[in-house]
Amino acid sequence: MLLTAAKDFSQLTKRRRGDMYSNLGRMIERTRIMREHVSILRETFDAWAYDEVIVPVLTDHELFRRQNPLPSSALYKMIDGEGEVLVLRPDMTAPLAHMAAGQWRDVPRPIRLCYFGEVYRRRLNGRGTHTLTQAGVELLGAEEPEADAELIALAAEALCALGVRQFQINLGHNGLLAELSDVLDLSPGEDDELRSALADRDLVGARDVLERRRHCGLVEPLLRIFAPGATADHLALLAELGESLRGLHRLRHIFEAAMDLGVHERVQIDVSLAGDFSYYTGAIFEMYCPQSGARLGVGGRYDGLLGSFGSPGAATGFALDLDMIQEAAACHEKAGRQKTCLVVADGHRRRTAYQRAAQLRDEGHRVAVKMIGDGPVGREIESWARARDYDSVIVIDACGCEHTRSASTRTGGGYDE
Amino acid sequence: MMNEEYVTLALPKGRLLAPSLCVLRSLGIPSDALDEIDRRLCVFDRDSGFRYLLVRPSDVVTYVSEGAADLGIVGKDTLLEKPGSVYELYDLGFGRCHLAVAAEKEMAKQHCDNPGNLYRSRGLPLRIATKYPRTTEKHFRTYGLDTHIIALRGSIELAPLVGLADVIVDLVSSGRTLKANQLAEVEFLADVTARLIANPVSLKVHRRMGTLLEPLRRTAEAGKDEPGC
Repeated sequence: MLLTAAKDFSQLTKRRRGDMYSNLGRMIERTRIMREHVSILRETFDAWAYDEVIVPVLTDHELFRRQNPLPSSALYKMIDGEGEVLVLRPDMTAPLAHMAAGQWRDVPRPIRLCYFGEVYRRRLNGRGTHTLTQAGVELLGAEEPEADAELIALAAEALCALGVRQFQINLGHNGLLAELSDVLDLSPGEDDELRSALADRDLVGARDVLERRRHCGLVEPLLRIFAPGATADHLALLAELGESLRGLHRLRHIFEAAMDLGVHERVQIDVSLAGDFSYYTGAIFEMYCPQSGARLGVGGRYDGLLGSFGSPGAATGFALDLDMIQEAAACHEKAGRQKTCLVVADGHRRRTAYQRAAQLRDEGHRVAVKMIGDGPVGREIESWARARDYDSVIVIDACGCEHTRSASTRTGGGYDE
Repeated sequence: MMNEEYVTLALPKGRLLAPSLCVLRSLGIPSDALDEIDRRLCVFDRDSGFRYLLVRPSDVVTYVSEGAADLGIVGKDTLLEKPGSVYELYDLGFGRCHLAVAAEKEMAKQHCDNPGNLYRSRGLPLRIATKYPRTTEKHFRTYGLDTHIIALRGSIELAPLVGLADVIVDLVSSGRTLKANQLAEVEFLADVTARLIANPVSLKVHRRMGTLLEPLRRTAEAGKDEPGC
């Protein structure tokens, strides 16, 4: 087991180098954006009174055995000196829920926490591994629909702050389809049929199942919320018709709170949403980019998880996938960013070069220094600097005079004196 | 690119085109621009704000799912091959036929009451020629048989005659093609009619979509799935 983990781990590092960091420039750029995103998110979460915590990378395997969010084969397991089985955290929610139910049992609720970091999962169908860089929040001990709406609004604000202009939040409820099939008195076969029709976006198939049950009044309103573009009015109409649909009432309340928060334009009802993780017990939401279909994050209510660790309590949270967001974010333009300069001098002017570099750094620029041997600095220094992605070159000649040359092929030109 | 003003419709060339135009007319969508079809594949109707793309039936789903068209008309057989990429809104009722498994006439007669026996009698793996590999695979999974699916683009009926396949899965409407090739139907798979499909994003954001689909919704509500010409 240890060996497999080690082997997969080395594959993981290789894959990351191979896939994402195929060249140094890209690696630096990705890292820079990732750090920038984390600091933006830290501010956003902080403004909503979420406190940051660091989740241990190695956690007890037991945590993921009791209420298993992922199949055991998706976990990286290893054995410590005492023979205990540890796992590389596949998820941040379960360790936090465990602590909330244990050590923090007596802390007054609600607790608002946020975290940043990587989670590790083995890819199940394909080979290789899966490292997700996540940023997320957990709201522990708040059961009202406003709590779910708060997270939806926070997720929307976070995505906007990161420069993702086009995104959509799909909101569903884990128990809704089960309740529906109760109300409509569907047989297990029909229930399967309805679920698979909704998963395939086959409204003709869904209509077939509903019409067989002769709940005429419900068919059209239901089909209306199965299709995209459903609004609070549609939910309200349906909620009146089906009083026993608790999930639906809940969704309606969340949607109304989201309207007050001003984010409902981004929210789309999706009843077929079921969530990847078995621990979700209520409202679930997924953020994604409508153009590429890339999923930027997922969240939901997991009221059962704390109970499974011995202290029942309401909880909800979401996690953003920072790698996906980086691809979706439109903040790749470098126009407004600080300049990277290279100060070049020959050995006799070393002190001047260092002083000038320090001065530029004070002004907020990023500066590297290069010493060259005696003799004049030729044109080749510009192409040298360009190849290394510097925006401008400042040459200090033998007399101590300064010449600025643009090295940049990027927009914005060289460094202005 | 999706156009804010225009509604783009992807229509299948071939046998579904004429009835499709008929349905468009019943929806109040003027398709006169399409009546004198020449060799153009993209027809603009500036007065009504519609754009029509004439594409291969099997490509309609792709045009709609990728957002090159807002709406499309396509047979259920094609949709079964690509589930979940578009919204399937309404059963338009025309182009009715069905997907079926067919085999050589003699063989089909022998095992007419139990297709499973026929499949097993052929030795494994059972070779199946079809235009619909996904649907076929899904269907034969229920038998738990070892199968080899041979994907063809057309003239499927030829495959059993020349020993390329043991059975075929294909569309059957009148059954004449099967008969002409000494084949007979063994098992029914699914009913097929033309469906109206929509791009998920268009359905939500396109301003004209609601009013456009209203007549269809009313027809469906009234329990008639076939808007007349």
